[in-house]
Amino acid sequence: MRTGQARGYGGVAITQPYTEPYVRRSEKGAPWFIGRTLAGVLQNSGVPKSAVDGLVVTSMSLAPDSAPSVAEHFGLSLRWLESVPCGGASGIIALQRAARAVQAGDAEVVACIAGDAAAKDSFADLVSRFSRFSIDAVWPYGAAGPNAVFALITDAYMRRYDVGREDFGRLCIEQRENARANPLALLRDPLNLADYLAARPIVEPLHLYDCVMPCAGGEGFLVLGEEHAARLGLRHVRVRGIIERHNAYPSDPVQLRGGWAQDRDALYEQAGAGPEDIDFIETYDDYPVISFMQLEDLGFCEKGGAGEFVRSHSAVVGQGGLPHNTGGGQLSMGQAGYAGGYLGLVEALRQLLGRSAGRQVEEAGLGLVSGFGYVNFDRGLCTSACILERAS
Amino acid sequence: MSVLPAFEGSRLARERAAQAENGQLTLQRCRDCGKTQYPFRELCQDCLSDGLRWSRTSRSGVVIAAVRVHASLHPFFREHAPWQICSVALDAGPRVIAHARNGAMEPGFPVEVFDERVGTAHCILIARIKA
Repeated sequence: MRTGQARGYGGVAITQPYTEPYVRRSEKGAPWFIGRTLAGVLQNSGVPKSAVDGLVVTSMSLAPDSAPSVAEHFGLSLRWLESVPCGGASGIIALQRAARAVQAGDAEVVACIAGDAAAKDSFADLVSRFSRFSIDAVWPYGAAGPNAVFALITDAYMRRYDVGREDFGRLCIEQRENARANPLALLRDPLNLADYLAARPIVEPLHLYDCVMPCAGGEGFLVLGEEHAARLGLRHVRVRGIIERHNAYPSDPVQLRGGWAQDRDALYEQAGAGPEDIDFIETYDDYPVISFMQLEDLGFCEKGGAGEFVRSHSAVVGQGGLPHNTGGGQLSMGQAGYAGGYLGLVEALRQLLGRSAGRQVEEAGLGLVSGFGYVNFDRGLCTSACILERAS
Repeated sequence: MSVLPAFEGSRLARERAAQAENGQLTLQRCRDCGKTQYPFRELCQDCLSDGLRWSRTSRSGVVIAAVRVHASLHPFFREHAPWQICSVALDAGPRVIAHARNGAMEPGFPVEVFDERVGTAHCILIARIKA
């Protein structure tokens, strides 16, 4: 089902990508990571904190606080405030909300901030109480958190499309290769196929290197008008198109496709570009099967063809394929809660601003970022994607 | 499998546990539109009516996918790993995740899914390959 084409995002600038360095464990609370990320995006921007009049907050560990609490914690007086809780789809959705607010004049400078804590045992607590459906219908069946659901999806995908573990392994290994040049990645040791295949099982068919490592950290960026950015002397990135979808294909027995398949034509139409024009891609890689689905559903290959695609297109920057998860993705950086849903977008901004030293995609002009998240019961409910362009 | 630990479920899960019977399958069915649904919810997902009632449901279904849990956040499953679970498309409509009771499950296997009570406040789903 197609609806009317969304209006463009003319006049909107994205800038100041910042990653608050990840740590495996921390006793600090979510406000610490959110506040440090806010400080990071404002650093050297010429925008004083008092000029931030819009804020998007994304966090899974902020309770008992929520977005208004953040304003008071950090002395912000806002005329526009948004909370985006869509898990791994959140970064792109935050960008969409912020861009529209700036276009409408509802806010002048919007900080989009994701930050999450990782105190001991907090992950188990969060996962065990994630949703009503998961409390009743997933947790009692092995208490394996999202690993169980993604193992079921991976099992079905591997059988349907005749994909082997070594196909997933290739992407994991190549992402790790990209991570070696990323000082922000927690996991930078090279990975080889033998180690990948020999890793301990988590929920078969998933093994250790198929699963992200929970950690703490933050990701953020600023959205403001292009003229405003120019006055401040800030180099920036433009939005060519954005899609989102919630609860796509609810009657599919198992999630072998996501909302991208439904909305990709709208995305490419908005952007006036196709998959062949994309210089690099940042997919949401909580598990490699989900990255495979994004390659297919976003039209880089046919359904079921991602195994062949990764064999014939290196993900490693500078090797002539399609640079993919250029900072190593979550599989190498770690998953800082919902900040993982901003990671690909923040890395894409760095690439388009030419700030990805050691892993810079040459002449990166057009990047595609996609997001996926919120496993309420047996599938991820939220998908998003955007196409971003370097401003000349 | 009554050795499973009692889990903290929702109000609806406790309500179901009070009515479920070992070996049968009790799920929510809408009095108004007839739709059987899972997981437990407050209102009918199709017609939004307040007409959901606990109803005896056909146990028949087909395995969608099956996996083996090795790592768990709960000590009980860690001690008993590896542990097989599966997803099942029930003939009655909904999809469920269930403990695999007998033998190695594979996609396409016809199964029966039924309730097993755990303590007084909880009840879990078991899938068994049809004879």
